[in-house]
Amino acid sequence: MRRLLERPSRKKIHSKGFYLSKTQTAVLFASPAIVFTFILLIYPIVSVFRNSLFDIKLYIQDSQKFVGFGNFIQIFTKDKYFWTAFKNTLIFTGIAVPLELSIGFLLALLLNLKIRSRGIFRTMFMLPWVTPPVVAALMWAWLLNYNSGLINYLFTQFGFLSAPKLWLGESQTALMSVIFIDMWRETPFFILVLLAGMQTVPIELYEAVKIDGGNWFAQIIHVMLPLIKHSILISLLIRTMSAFKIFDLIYVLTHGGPAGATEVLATYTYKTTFEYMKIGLGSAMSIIILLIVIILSIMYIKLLGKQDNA
Amino acid sequence: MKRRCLIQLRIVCALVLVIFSMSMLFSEGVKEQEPAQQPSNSLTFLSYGAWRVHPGWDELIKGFEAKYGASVTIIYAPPAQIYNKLVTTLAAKSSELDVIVVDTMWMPSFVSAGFLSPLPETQIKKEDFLEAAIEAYSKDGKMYAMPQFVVAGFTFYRTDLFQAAGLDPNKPPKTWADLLSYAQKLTIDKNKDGVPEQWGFGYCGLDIGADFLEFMWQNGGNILDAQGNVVVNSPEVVEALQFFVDLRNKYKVVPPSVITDMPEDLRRGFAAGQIAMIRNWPYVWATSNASDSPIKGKVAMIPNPGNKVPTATTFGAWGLAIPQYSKNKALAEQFVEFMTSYEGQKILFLSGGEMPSRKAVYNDPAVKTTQPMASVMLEALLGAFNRPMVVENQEVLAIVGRAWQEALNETKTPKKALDDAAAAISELLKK
Repeated sequence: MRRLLERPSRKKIHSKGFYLSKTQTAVLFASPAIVFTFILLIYPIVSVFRNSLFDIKLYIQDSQKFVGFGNFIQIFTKDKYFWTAFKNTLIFTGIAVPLELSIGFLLALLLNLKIRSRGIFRTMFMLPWVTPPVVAALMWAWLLNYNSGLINYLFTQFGFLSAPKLWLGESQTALMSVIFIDMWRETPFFILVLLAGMQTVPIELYEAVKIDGGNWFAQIIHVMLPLIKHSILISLLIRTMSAFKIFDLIYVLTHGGPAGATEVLATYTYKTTFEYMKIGLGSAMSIIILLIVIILSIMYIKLLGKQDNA
Repeated sequence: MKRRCLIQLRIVCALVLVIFSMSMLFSEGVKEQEPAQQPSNSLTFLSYGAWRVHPGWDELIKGFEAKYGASVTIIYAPPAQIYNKLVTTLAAKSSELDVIVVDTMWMPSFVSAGFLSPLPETQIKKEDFLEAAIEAYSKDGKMYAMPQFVVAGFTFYRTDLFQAAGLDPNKPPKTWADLLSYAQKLTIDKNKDGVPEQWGFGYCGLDIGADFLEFMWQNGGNILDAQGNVVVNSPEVVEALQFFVDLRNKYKVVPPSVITDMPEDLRRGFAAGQIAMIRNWPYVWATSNASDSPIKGKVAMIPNPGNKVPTATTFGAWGLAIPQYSKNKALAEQFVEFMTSYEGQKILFLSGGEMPSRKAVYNDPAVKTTQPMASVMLEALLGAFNRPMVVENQEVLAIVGRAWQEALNETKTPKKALDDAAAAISELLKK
C-alpha cells in the first residue's frame, strides 16, 4: 500500500494498452502552443544574432557581406549618436526608477493604513498605469503644449513661471519632462507590488517592535523593509529592464528630439533598423542592449537577492 | 480501466488534431488571394489606400478596362505600410504585383536593387512633365516610373489678418526681406507680456520636416551638388540656416514651439489666428476652405518667397512603376500610360485635387475654373527641388535635420552644425 502512495506520477501504470501519465497528457495538450511560441520566438532571435554578423542594408539586394564583429566595432568606435543615446538611457533609468520606487513606497505606506476610503484611493492611483501608453503620451503632449497647454496656462496664472516654457522643445527640459511622464505612468506599478508585499507582513511583528520601545520609523526599518525585500527586488528588476527599453513614450512625444536630447537606445535602434534600413547595424545594437540588460539583472540579483533567514 | 484510457487517448488525439487544423486554417486566411492562374489580360495594381479613393479613380479604372478589355484587381494599402509591403514582395521576387506606386524617396534604392523594369522610351515625352518629376523617376536617362501626382510646399496667409495689420492682401511677400518685414508687422503682443498672441510666421522645425530644405534651396544651396559632392556646409546654406534660426531666436516672429510642431499644429494655429503666415502642404487650402471652416475665403496661397532664386519648394511625388518580376508587362505599360495620360491626370485633379505631373493640365480651362490655385501650383512646381537622390537619402536627411535642430536650439552655431553634418554625410556616402 505504501509503495502505491509514494509512486510519482511520472511512472507509467503497466497494463495492456497505451497509457499516458498525467504529465505526458498535459504536455501533449500544450504542445501546439509550445511549438508555435518556440518557432515565433526562436526564429527572430536567431535571425537577429545572425544579422548582426552581416552588413545588411535593406536597400541593397544580394550583397550580404559577412563582417563578423565589424558592426559592433563600428558602434563602439564610430557612432557617437549611439553613445548619446546610451547616456540618455542611463540618465532616464537612473533618475526615473529610484524616484518611482521611493514615491511608490511612500504611497503604498499610506495606502496600507486602514482609512475608510482607501479603496477609492487605490483605484485612483491605478489609473495612470492602465492608460494605454500612446494615449498617455499624446495627452501629456497636449498638456505640455507651448501655446495651448494647461500646464503653461496654470503656471503662468499662478506665477510659477513668467512666460510659457517649451517643455518638450528645449534640451534641458525635454528629458526631464519625459522622465516625469514616465514616473506618472509607472509609479502605480510599484504601489501595487509593494502594497501586496506589505500586506503579507504579520502585525505581531510591528507590535513586538513597539513593545521594545521602537516608534513607527523603527517598525519600518526593522520589520517591514526586510520582509518586503523580495517585492522590492522583483519590482526594481522589472522596472529597470522596462525603463532601459523605453520606446513608445519618447517616439510619440519627441521622436528623439530636439537634436537628440531625448534619443534613447530603443529609439535609435529603431531608426537605424527601420528608417535608415541598416538591419545589420540595428541587430548589433539590439544585442548590445540585451547584454547590458542581462548584466544589470545579474547585478540586481546578486546585490539584493540574498535571503536572510533572520 | 482499459476503456477509460482508450477514450482518454482518443480525446487527446482528436483535440490535438483540431488545434493543429485550426492553426492551419487561420494562417491560410492571412495569405493574400492566390493569383494562381492569372489570365493574360488582368492586372494587379497596388494603390494608396482608402483615403485616396474618390470617384475619379473608379472612372479611370473602368475606362481602362473597357478600352483594353482587361480586368484590374486593386490591392489597397495604407501609405505607412506600402513601403514595407513593396520591399517584402519585391525582395521575394514575387510576380504578384503588376503595377505599383512609388514615392520619389524610394526610387534610388528600388532602382539600385533592380526591382523596377524600365519603361519604353517611345511612350514618354519628357517635355510634357515637370522637370523635377522626370529627374526623380529616371536614372541614366531611363525612366523607371511615370510620375502621377505631385506634392509641394506652399506659403499660406490670412488675408483678414493682413488687412488688420495694414498690409495689402493682394501684395504678398515675394522675397525673404518682404517675409521678414511682413512677419514683424504681423507679430502682435497686445498685453505686452513678452508672448505675442499673434505670430507673424510659422514653419515646421522638426527633423522630419522639409521646411529648412526649402529655405536652403531658396538661397541657392543644396545638400549634394550635381556631381554628388557634399555641399551642405557651403556659405549659401549657412546663410539660409542663419536666417531660419534668426526668424525664431533673433527676430522672434516665429513661435518657439516650431522646433517640435508638426504641420497639423501649425495649421491649427493658423486657423485659430495665432499665426498669420505659415509654410505648409496643399491640404491646408482644402481644409481651410471646407464648408464648415471658420476661415473660409480668408486664406491665400502663394509660392514660397525666395532669396537668390525667385521661389523654391520641396518636390514630392507618387509614380507608377512596373516590377521587374511582373508577368504582364505589356498590359502594365499600357495601364501606366493610360493612368498618367493628360485626360487621366485631369480627371483625378478635378475629382480629388491631386496635383498632376503634366504641365499642360494646369492650364486647361476646365481645371482653371474648378481649381483656382492651379496657376499658383504650377509656378511653385516649376521651382521645385528633389531631395537627395542617393540610396541613403533617409539617413542623409536625418543628419541634416539634426543640424538644423541643433542650430534652432542654439546648441551649435549654424556653421558648426552644418560642418558636422557635412562630415557625417561624407563619411556615410563614401562607404
